[in-house]
Amino acid sequence: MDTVSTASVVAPEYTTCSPDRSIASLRLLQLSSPALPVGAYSYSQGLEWMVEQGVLVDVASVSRWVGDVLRESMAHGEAIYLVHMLRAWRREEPLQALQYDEVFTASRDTAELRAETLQMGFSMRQLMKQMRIDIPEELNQSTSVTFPCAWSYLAHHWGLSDQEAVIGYLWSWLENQVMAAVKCVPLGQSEGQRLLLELSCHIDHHLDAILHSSIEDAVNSLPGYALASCFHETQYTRLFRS
Amino acid sequence: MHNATNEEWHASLSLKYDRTDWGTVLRHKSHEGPLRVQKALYPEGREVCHTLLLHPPGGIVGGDNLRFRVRLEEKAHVLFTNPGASKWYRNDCRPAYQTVQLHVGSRAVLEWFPQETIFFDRCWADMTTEIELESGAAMIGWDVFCFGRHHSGESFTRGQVRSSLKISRDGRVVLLDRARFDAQEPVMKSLTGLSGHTVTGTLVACAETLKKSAVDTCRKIPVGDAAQAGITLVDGMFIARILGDSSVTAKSWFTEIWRVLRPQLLGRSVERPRIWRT
Repeated sequence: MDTVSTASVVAPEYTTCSPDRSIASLRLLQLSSPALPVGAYSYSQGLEWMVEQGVLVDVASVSRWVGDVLRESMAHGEAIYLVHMLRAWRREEPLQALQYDEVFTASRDTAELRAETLQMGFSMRQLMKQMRIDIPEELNQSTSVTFPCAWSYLAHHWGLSDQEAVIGYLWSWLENQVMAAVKCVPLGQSEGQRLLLELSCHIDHHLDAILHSSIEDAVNSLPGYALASCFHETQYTRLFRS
Repeated sequence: MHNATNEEWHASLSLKYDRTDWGTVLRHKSHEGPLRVQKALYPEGREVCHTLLLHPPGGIVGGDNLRFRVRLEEKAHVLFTNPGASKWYRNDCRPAYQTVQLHVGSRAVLEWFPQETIFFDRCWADMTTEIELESGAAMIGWDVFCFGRHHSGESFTRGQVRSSLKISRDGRVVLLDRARFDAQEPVMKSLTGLSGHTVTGTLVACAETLKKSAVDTCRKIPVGDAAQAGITLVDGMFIARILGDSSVTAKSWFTEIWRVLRPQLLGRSVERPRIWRT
């Protein structure tokens, strides 16, 4: 049933030919929506451990932690890979995109962080197939694929610009982090919206640097973040898979 | 050798080890500038060569460029360490570089245990380590970074440390650990980064014989001095991290992990290098 409905929405004449940016905006919304069935909602990336430790207790402490992860892990790392993967797809260099994919996989330096991106990447690739989107043979054949790699292919396929892709990717990540905090701190729904309002300005602030970074600028080694992820592995009671 | 064109001090050391009927042999050794093998010892028999690396100037200054190239051929087993901490002196934005390339041949074993690296205030450092493992090779190694000289009350107020560790297995990159610690950036204080701590260390072990149970055993090892320490196992790689304010604490925790892992990985018990006791 799922397959039928999505296939009818993505009729080829609307996805590939339109120069109209409104279509691109709609695609961006779809790609960034929490309804995208890749399982993002089941991951907290160490946030759940920080709550358990009593470090994240209110809007201010959550804002600080999520803002730090956004800057140091996403803006200085993952988002840079995303942009370079997207450009490689656009240049029709799938092997280059998959080379970045290999390095990005290696940069996820805990069991949970690596499992997360590979599970979401796998689901994203499955989803594209179910949406009848033609994906390059190299991507189809690859034994594993990370989330930014699979996601950036669809962003390319739907004609998104670098800027649109980064904004969409970071927004959906941010929304997921804030929803995780709302669930496990817990915070009120309106407090969650206040956080999104505030932290989305950080995305805007980091955007230029992300778009102008070379792949060698991407860093991933963050002792505190990696430790939170390590400790989450043995956390006794947990709602999230990371 | 002093290179007049770009006014940088280059030093390199190139080593190649073979495994023969006799044992592990340092077959080839060449150097340029002040990098040396101080000693090649066999305290636990001829199968394992303990090699002491020496940089006689004692510290690294702006413009220095140190290169290590090491090849372990099939089945060679070498343990590397050095007699004291590596010191990266104040260089006021004139960066110094170190590149380490370690090639571990089929079924060879690399143990890489440098003493701590101390970054003095106002030092700009760029360190790259690349480890290539061929099929069946095993490795265990660590790095301990100290920002500023905690015990002399000197903080790391300015400067930048870039470091990159890349491990590949059978030609595929399996671990990348790339860091940029800039004294003036939030990463020094943020909870995701160093949380204001001055010492951080990473131990990585990789071997086909590595078991999940090793992680459980090592997680029970106590960590001193209120340091935070965690362990994970990802794609056959054991990764242990510590964050605190004492390099002694970090090294002794890593040594205890080594005590657990060595028999499992290499079928040998731990033989602490004598130089660590002095």
